[in-house]
Amino acid sequence: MTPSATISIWQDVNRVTDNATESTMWHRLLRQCGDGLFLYARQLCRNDADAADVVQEAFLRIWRKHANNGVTEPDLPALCYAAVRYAVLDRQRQAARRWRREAAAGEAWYDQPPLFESSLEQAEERAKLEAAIRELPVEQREVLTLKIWGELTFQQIATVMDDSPNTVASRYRLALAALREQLTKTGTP
Amino acid sequence: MSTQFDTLERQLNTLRAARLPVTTRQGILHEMERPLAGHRSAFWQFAHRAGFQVALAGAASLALMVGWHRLSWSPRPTSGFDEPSMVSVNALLPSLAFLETQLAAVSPIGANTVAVLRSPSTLTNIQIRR
Repeated sequence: MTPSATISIWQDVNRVTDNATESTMWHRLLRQCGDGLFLYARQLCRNDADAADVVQEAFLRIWRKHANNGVTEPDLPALCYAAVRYAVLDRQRQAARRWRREAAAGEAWYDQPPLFESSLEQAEERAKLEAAIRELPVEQREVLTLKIWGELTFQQIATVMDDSPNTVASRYRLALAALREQLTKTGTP
Repeated sequence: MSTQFDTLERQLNTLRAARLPVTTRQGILHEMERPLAGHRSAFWQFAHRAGFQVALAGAASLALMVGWHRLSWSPRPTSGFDEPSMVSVNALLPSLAFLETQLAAVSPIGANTVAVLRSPSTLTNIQIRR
């Protein structure tokens, strides 16, 4: 089976999954923010399995908390991103000792699959951008992810990250500057 | 407002985040289809937390230790009489005999009057029948 055929089947499966359910506010939220939440969780987790678990835990936590309290749809994405961050920090606290032990044992870091989808023509550009993004400090990567793929405002990002909007905006600019410098070095236009 | 980073931002916007795994998506949808209230007891909401598990294990160990300690130190089943009560009854016997004498002196004793000391172990078993 060719890679394009595999991608096509994958997209079909996702489309069926998305359309098969009734379109409530929560289903729309999952459809619109699910991938962004997963991307954000992958920035903070050690592997994709953990990231997927974190997204599920965070999304359901928000759903259980706000399903019956009249929360408005525009507020939900920021709440979900904040819940993902909280869930990751919670897990890190719980597993800190184990992680330190594993790191001390010289365990190799997990080789992550691509963060982004791309067509074959864009593959090279995507790989360079992704490599440059991975080089960023985690705080800058967080802000970049929340701003570009989470489509949150600086005010919302500040709430998610428990920082001031000015700090967040400053980190975003620094991230873009670092990315541009990195891409210039690698010769990407 | 255009900035020096517009081109880069456009480039980044062309990237589409990798999709959330289907199993995770289905897991979330499946959970949302279940009734919200009471679908999970409080125990199971906390059961996955390490702190809760440690506390539960600690409580179980403590209960086991206390139970074991109590079992190993508890006295054996008592027999019909124990030593301290026997000592006290023996000490009381002379006064009991004195009491009987007094009673016989005070009250008129008929032919069928019987003083029965059923058991030497307890005072309450003294019964005087007429």
